[in-house]
Amino acid sequence: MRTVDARTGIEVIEREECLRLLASRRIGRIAVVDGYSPVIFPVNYLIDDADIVFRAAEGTKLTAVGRANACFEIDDYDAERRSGWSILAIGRLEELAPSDRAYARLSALPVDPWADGEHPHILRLVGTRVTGRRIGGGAT
Amino acid sequence: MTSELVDGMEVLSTEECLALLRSHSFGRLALVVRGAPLILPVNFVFEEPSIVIRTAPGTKLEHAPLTAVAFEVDEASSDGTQGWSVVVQGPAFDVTDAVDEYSSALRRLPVEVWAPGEKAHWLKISAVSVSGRRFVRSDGSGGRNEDG
Repeated sequence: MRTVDARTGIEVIEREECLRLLASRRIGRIAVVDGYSPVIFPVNYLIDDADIVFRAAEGTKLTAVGRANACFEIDDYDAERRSGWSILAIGRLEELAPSDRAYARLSALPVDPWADGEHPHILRLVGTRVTGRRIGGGAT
Repeated sequence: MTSELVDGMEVLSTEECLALLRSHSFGRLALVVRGAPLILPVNFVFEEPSIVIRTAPGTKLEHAPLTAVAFEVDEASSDGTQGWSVVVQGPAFDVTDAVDEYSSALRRLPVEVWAPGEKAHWLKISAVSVSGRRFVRSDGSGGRNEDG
């Protein structure tokens, strides 16, 4: 049974399906606010214990904002079929300390092309609200 | 066209970034809503220096005009060996009812709309800064990446 947003006519993706889609992909985009401006970066990410975690290179805005509000997005749209879906995860950024249980595991990942560099920071999105929408119909 | 190598990634020239924007029609708008960031995928057309999108009344129309926004386009090969991203920063404007010739011309651009509903409002983002990066790895160690 599909749930359709009455205002927009867009199909809402249920939370469980959102989490499944999040776990199935590797690239997303993260946005934070720098002053009054939003900044957005593509990142390679993983789901660790139901949290979205990713690397940020030293010296980027992501490592400078501290425990900031952040929005994470993944999508898959097909231009020919004019259809697709997108997932949003909204929360706050938290940096993993080297002593954190997950730090060693995440640091040992294969090199992340979007966050190259010798001293990557591992960030986690916490307190997350996840929503998803699908347009163009068709089950995936 | 040469690009510099910075931290293992290739920084794209402005001309390369503009060419990528001209050849793509799907991206992500990042805006600030009550102090918090939000990312919304949209169809667009790039007619330098404007990114043009269409929208129905809602979050984009309520919060983007006369604010600083960011706009991002990216792609990655399915084997994770190649990818690029372009990011644009600039102010957004509601040009739906603007009477100047430039805005009228923007409203004639073939901006697609995949989402349902009437998209009677036109927004433009003036590209004040444009930057981009590309990576190419020969060993596929970027992991399994999906096309953006």
